[in-house]
Amino acid sequence: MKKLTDFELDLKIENGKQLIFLQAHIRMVWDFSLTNMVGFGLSIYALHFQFGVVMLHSCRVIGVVSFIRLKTEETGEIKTGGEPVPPETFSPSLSLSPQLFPSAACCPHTLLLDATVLEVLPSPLSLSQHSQEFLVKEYLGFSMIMMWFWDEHKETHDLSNNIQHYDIAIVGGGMVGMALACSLANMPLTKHLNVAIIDSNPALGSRPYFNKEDPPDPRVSTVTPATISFFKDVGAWQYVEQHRRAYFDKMQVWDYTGLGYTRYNAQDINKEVLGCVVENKVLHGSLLSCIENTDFQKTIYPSRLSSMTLPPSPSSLGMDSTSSRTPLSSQKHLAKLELSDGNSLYTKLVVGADGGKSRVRELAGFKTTGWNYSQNAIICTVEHTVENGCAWQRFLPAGPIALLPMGDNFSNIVWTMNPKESTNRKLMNEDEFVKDVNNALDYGYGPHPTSSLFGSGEMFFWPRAGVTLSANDCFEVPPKVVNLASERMVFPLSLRHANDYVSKHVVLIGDAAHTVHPLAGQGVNMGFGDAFALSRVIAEGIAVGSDIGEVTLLKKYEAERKPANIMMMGILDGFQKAYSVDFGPLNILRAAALHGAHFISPLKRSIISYASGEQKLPLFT
Amino acid sequence: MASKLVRHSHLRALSSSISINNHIRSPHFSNPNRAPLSFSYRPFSNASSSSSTAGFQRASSLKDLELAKFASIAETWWDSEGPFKPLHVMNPTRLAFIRSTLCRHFGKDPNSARPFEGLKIVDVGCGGGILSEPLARMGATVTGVDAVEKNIKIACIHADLDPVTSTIEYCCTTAEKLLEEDRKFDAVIALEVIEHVANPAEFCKSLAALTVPDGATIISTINRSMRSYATAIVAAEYLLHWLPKGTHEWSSFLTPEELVLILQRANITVREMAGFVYNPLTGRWSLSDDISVNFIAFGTKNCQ
Repeated sequence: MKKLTDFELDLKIENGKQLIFLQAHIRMVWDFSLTNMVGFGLSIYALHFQFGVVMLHSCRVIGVVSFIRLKTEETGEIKTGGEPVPPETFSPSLSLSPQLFPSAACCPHTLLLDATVLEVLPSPLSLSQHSQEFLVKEYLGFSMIMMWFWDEHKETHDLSNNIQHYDIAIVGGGMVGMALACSLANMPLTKHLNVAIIDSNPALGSRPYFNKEDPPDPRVSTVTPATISFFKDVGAWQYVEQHRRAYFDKMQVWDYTGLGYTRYNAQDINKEVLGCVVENKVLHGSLLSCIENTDFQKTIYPSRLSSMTLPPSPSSLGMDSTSSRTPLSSQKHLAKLELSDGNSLYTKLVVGADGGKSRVRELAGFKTTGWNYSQNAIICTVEHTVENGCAWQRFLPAGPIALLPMGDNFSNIVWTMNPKESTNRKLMNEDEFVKDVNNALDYGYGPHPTSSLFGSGEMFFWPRAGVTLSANDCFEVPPKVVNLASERMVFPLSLRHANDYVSKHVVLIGDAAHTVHPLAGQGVNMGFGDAFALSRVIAEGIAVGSDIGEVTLLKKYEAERKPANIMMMGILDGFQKAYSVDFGPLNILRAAALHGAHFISPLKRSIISYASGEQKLPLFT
Repeated sequence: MASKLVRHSHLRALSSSISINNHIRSPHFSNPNRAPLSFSYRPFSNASSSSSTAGFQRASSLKDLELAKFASIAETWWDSEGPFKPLHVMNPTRLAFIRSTLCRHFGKDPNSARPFEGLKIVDVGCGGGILSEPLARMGATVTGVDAVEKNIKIACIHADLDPVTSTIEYCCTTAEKLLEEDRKFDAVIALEVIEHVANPAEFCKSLAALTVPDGATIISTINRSMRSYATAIVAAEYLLHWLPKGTHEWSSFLTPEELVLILQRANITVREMAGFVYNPLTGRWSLSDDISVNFIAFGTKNCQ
């Protein structure tokens, strides 16, 4: 990891009047990232020459490096000065803080040390110039190595003051993690926070660039109006607008039995749109661009979390502990994170935004409840001959298939099925797959639904007039798929919910707290909701001077999000269960429910507003 | 509920109480060699702690009881799930009031993360520092005083955990003593203290004297109302046994009108007042117009 690849020492020794003037020029090349560097210094010790032997036991510090120049290919030179150390201290004194050059943090460096020794030493012996030079050189080399040793083992000595301290460390720089950073960057009370983002995804380091000509990526999210307004609040939606995205204002849900269907219109809930389908990389890139345009202090660690040490609880703050005001105690209230590349950092708050297999959740010991559905989802991009402006979802015996508009005649398919079928469909040739998709969205598995089956068409004519406009809409068949425009990706489905979202210094957001069935595209919307709620709670805490790692503060976030998330998970899981059973009477009930939802407009309105993230509880009012 | 807070509030009360001062000051506080006044940078010795206990023995037996009870739970000041939980829960609400009134009075930017930058604030009866630390994070230069040595020790240890709060100056002293040192502050805050003071009028005068002209004084306490009697005395002491019987003397509570009057006499004009109400469903406190139980008052010192 840390390796000194080049080490040159030029010494000029002037010998005169029983004094040796040292002037050292040391050139070193470092090949590790600067974030590793906790400090650097050089000390030169008094050399007692006795009978030609350097007596180490009597060494003392008489001078230090006065000047360090750091050279990197990207940033040019950064200079920093040194301070003389009092003679009695044995301590390297110059430190370089990675904060000085954040952009250079992860590339190899050439470090130039211009060491000018400040003091002169007595020269009691008349050694030859050559042997003095030799001894001093050796000795300097020795002390440099000593210092390296010291540097490497700094942590074990608990001299950790130079390890970077952050207010918040976001583990996982995906959509939800970046949404949190973006939200923090845009609120007056939180924009001063010093935030570390830990993610090995290289996309975080570079400016996002998308080629408009490429077919859309199959990894998309259906963002709800609530999420859109969140993005608008933090100023990220304008960047989404610059890229491909597809608003839809219509939605049709039906099932394979042909017994029921329902159509939703945005007007039903007095909205312009029901949602918008955006590629994940566009959402992520927009959040990144948005953060770049603020002067938010963020440091990206391109690494993974390997371990986490949480401080002991304050109740153990005993009277017996020595009450000295030492600087060492200032780390006691911080969480320490160690990364796989050897870096470590201290932070007041660790945010686990690292997805369904959250390492933070595991390290913090949060328990989860959940199960795997024995189902996989195939996702891919398909092409039509016409533009699709509606979101379609049909429940099939093995699971739902959704066709979401993506703009430019493209649509996204999310098709849930059992694992065996999913393997087959992934491997079959493209033409057959397209045929299968068209079949699944049309006459496959059962007839088109007609309301006349219930004979209720006429019955419902009079109450629906003027109440729910879209009830007048007839069932439609989705546009035909002509082409497969991306590879087919398969994901296993599961439901998982963390029993707790917070503990002291740790908080979970997004999939780390809850993984859901991708049925209505709710997963990431719940995550954005978490990010927004958490940033608001942090701002409220800062307003009243709370410690942001304090569990009483974080509990406010949990109290706000947990019921909402559990409710949504229950609804989605219920839907999933209801449709994974193919049983005659249940089919009719289910169809009746869809049918009912279609015509009873208040009920329908609250279902959509819940699915679009507008309402906290599905109260049918 | 409301009264739950009361249980802890009385523990902070020994500070600055005039009558207690008279007892304490005579034996050992007058001798700086035996009992250091400032503990902020010193380790503590058993000798000084026992001597202060000896000093309190001259107070009434009730105060003794309070002191003993306090000493037994002092270490849990910062355990947010411990005996001081109600205070931790109420704290953001008190601070919200302090933030908004002080920002308005001193013309500070309410959108700033450190709006109190440049303000000198004293927290009279600081306890374990539950109020002092947030004030320091909000940028204020904070002095926390408490007459109970153990509180100051806990406060010091805890404040040292964070570089931002380690700047707080904690002193084991009283408002009176501070006055003798001729200290002045932009804002003087005494929360849940005045109801335990023998002579509230004198206490208010001390607070006023510590405040610079046109500075702010903030006081919170419990009203002397039927509801406070029901919650703080009957429910908390007799029914729920949260507090030992006789902890609070209802008749010594002040009504908002009385507080306004004695502050007026101390040359402080009350500008704003709010009540705290507890919602048992959410478990949170909020500010309200209902000042029938717990209330907080913000006043400014008149220029002369």
